[in-house]
Amino acid sequence: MSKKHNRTPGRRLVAVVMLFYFLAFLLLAVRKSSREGYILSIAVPLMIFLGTNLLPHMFKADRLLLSLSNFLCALGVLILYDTNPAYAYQQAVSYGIGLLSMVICILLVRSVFSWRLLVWPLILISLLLLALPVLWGKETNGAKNWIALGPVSFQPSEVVKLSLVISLAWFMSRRKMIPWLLFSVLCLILLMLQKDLGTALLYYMTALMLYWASAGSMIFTGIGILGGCAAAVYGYNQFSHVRRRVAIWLNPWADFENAGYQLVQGLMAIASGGLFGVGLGLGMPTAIPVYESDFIFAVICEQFGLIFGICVLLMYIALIWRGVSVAMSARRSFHSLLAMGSTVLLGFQTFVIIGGVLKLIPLTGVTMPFVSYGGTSLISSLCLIGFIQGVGSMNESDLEEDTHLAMLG
Amino acid sequence: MSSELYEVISLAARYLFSLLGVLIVLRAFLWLRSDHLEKRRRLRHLPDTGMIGELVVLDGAGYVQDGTCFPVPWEGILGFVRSCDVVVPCIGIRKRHLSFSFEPETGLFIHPFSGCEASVDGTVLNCRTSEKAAPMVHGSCLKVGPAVLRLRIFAGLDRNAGFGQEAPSGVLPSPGATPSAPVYPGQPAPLPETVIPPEYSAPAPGYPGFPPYGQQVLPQNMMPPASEQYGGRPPAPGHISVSGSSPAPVRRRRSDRWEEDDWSE
Repeated sequence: MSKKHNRTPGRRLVAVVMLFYFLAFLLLAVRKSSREGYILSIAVPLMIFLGTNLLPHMFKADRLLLSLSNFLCALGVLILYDTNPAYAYQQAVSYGIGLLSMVICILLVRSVFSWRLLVWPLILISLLLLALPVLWGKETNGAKNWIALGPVSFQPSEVVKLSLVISLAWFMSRRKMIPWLLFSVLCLILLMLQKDLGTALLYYMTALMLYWASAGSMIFTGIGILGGCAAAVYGYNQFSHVRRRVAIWLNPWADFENAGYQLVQGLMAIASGGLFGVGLGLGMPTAIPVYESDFIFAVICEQFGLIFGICVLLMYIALIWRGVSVAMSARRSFHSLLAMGSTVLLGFQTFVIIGGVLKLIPLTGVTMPFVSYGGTSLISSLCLIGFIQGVGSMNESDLEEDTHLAMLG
Repeated sequence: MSSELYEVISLAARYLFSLLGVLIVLRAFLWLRSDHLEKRRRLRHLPDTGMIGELVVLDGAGYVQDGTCFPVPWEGILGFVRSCDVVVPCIGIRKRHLSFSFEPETGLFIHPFSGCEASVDGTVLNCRTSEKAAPMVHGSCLKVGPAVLRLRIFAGLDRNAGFGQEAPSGVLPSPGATPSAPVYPGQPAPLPETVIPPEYSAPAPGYPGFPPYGQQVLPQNMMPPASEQYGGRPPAPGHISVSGSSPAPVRRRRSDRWEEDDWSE
């Protein structure tokens, strides 16, 4: 029995992940001759082992989701350690905080039974947080979406993602269409004022997908998509940086030394990586502007190759598949929509940034979930995974209870 | 380490990293598949999973066979399109007629959509009347369109759904009441003693009882004599027996426990 248990795909997956990070960090440690590298080569696999084995025992967390999200988070730390170790240490701290936040989110989903009391204060705080950058925000890459509080700066729209998913799921589960619409529209207006169109697109798609998942009305979903297209045209005409990004997307080579430099460098990095990459620690990843956040996928493809890049994409697909499966198995519509909203948000965010890096769609300034440098983004992504985990663990409890009841008598 | 040596090692290691990446993805998808199969296996053995009870057709108005059971989940929509959680194919029932949600304290809350009408134990619910929603308890009758359905809540929900809280009496099957006899094809359905509105109180003609989900109703003459197989006790509806042998302990439904559960626990 124990031998059979050891041969489960879960154990093998964790073992392969641990081996990957042990070898990768060891290689970088040898190159840099740094003691931190050797510590990381032991600490990261150990953290992955403990994280994927301890949490499921404590909270009935889903080990596949944990393994995949841990792999992606550690991949971000690895790439940052190679390119800029200072960022890697900050990212590792954020990863630790993110894991704690994930546990809190699991507990929240499992223990809160009356979300009605939480939703309205959450909405109020969310709108205030989104209004802050409009008044006192710091402009970065055309968008005014950062808030600096002394030495700490953060992106309120990343925090609001969580309350957006909770609030919209709750409204849709109670079929309160007017508050759902009002909150979505207010968030979108505030994001438009911040000129943060990438995040606005994520919010919009999440709201629309939740509506479609809950109401199933193709007519109104179609009207919503048309409305989104109209808003995109308005944004294109209204904001100069949107026009510039669309022009870069259409032909980055027209001005490859200035406006199209980032995209061209990203594409060249992916191409130079070939199938198997140029080798970890080799190549010129720092030549890509914003390599640590927006273009980290290009760095992955350059260092590890196209095959590994496709594997990373498939990992996101597996994560989304599991999220949808958890949402479909939920007993209560709120839990189902919460898991679905979290999955949709993560899925669209991945699509938007990887599509932008690969020149499939115009580039928007969103981060690659779990991997990109950025504490707020990493923590909010892990919180979204925490919501899915919470719903999954409730499903598991319900199923166990059913099994127990069926075996009685 | 010299940079040349590192380059050689790194170039060799890239194949290993690609291989490990492919292995991780393969393992992840194998895991997904095995979990999917496991879930299907568990659901096959627990047909009532996720259901709080069933709506039994008392009068299908010629569109639905009387006695048909519709499993009821915790929350959902009743209508006649396939996307609904409870599909009642009757003329007079809208595509999405009403929504319902179960609360252990109050029962199954019925909320007709705008422009739709339903009645719970004679109380008419629609957007024009003051009553827009009403709870159904165990044994309540629901009239939706021309069809009349009765709610039968499964036993065990007081343990499963109330998050450790005791459900008030009247919502769930009463533990103190005389347990109903098991229902078999060909027998009339023994429903608990509840107040039934006069218009629904007349027995439906040809009411065949509760057929198990997805199983064909066996004619009376094909049922094995209860006295021979089960020591005088009739078999539970979910049990499958193999010609003359002892009953195999498979596929217990939560609805079975309603009749057989030891309520003194």
